[in-house]
Amino acid sequence: MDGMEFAQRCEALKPRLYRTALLYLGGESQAVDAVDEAIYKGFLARKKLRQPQYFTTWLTRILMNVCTAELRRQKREQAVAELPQTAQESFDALPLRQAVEQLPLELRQVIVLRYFTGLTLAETAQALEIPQGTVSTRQRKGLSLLRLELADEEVDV
Amino acid sequence: MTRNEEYLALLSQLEAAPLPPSLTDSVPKAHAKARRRRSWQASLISLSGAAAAFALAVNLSAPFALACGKVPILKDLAAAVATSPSMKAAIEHDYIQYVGQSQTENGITLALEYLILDRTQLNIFCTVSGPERYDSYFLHSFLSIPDGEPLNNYGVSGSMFTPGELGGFSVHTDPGVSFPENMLLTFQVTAMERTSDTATISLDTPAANHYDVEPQVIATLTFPITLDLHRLGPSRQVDIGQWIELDGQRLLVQTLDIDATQARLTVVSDPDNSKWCEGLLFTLRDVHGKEYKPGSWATSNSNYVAQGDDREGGQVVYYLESPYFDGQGPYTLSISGADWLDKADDKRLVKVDLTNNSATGLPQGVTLDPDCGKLTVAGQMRLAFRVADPADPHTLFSWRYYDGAGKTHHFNQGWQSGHPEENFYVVGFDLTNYPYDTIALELSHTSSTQLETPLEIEFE
Repeated sequence: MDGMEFAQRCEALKPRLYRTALLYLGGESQAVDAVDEAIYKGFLARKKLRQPQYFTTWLTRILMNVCTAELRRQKREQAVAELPQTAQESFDALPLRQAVEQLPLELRQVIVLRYFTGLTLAETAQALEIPQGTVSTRQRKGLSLLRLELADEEVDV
Repeated sequence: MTRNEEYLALLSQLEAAPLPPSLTDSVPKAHAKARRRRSWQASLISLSGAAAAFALAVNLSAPFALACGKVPILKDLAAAVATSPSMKAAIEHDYIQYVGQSQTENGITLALEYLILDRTQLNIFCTVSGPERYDSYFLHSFLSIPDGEPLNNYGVSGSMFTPGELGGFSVHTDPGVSFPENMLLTFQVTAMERTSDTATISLDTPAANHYDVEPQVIATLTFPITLDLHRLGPSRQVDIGQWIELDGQRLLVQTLDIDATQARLTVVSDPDNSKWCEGLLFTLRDVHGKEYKPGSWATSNSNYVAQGDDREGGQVVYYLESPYFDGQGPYTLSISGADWLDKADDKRLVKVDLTNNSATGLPQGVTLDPDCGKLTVAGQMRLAFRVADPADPHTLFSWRYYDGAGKTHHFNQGWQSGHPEENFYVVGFDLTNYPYDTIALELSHTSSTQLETPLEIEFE
């Protein structure tokens, strides 16, 4: 993929990338840094992408790795708010956005990608490099904690 | 508003919100950053006629090494040292050296990126990457001179790495021992495979499935490096020489040695003390009131806290952040507490009878787990203790234990397992080929001192 095509595809995807990072990390400046970093890493690695039709999941995967690294760094510096799966009452008491931000990491990844970034089940599995069955399971748990009754089939975002 | 309605409203809000202005030029910024990276690498090649580009990076003349210090520091290095004021100050004062070597073996790639050197501590920054099944790497580091003869008198702090993420660790020399200009750095890489979601360790899923007692080395990589010793400033030593008394125990605060990336406080115990000092809680303040905290590098993997053992010569060297560049004396050492280990055997040892699952000397709140004294499916002897809160096994026990014949040994590794739904956790150790019916484990400490008003020592 040449630089021009990369730039065009990035511009189109940027709002979704930012939305993903914002919900995943919980802060605007962290989300901006994460998207910048992911785009830079994607630019450096663009020639390794052999199938451009997978650009979205590929760049999303890069972004998720950047975000996860940032969360690990934050966790080393201070306790990061994350409620256990058993804390249903605590989730119920929170506005939806905060509840998403405090989901356990593996559930948060799936919920953000499926219901706020608009990836399909297959695309989410690809982006996170986990089986589709695992995506389904985590999606169910996440939706249950958030008390969201959303269809299991693909959602248009 | 129902939760579903809340979801639709949130989605609309997020879709309608404008992108932050700083993101409008992300792609051009990435392009420019990549161009700078390429021209930096190209200028390395243009400096010498040597064939291998990575070898050039280490044969740096002093002026070029200085130029490296002026290259904009990559964001990941800034992140790697974000929690260490000493490291950041060292970088600002051009103590950084770019290496830029990379090697791959058995699918494992180690990129040796930067060094930050002072007279007694070499800080090494690298990334490790490999197959997706590994979610962390550990580097076992060895130093030698170019002919292969091993260096002695050095210690290495923890060096666990997240795949693809720039991380660092420190190599410390003994006092009075310098790093040679030319060295070989050899890394033996071990790795942890991604585990399932469960963190429960049982006799059927022993700790060996989660933590390799003897991890397999998956790659061995050796890098030749040349240290730029010209930029090193002199060390400073401040004589303190003051006795303090905490909980009836006397300690001599002897000296403060100050280097660019860390400082060292030497403390000597009175041999007549009834307890060994297992840790000192303190901070240092300079004349401006700026605080320097304990630990040589406060990241989770590489924080070197102390060197030495009170029971061996009574001298312990505590590491702390360094006032080398900006912190002037007079200094104030503020001591807020200490951990002690009673010298009497009946107070410091937990004696376990493995035949009938009983123990003496257990601290309050600690009980034997029913699995203690049993064999795991891997054939190892299980030592297991229940505690109320999650704990690293070495916050409870030291590394030392005594077998049934009274011989001293050291644990390689411990483990912890969670049962939060039942309000208990288990910490333990698994021993291979343990033939005795009894074992004595040494506690990490038997008492602690916590001062409401810290004890302060002022010195020039």
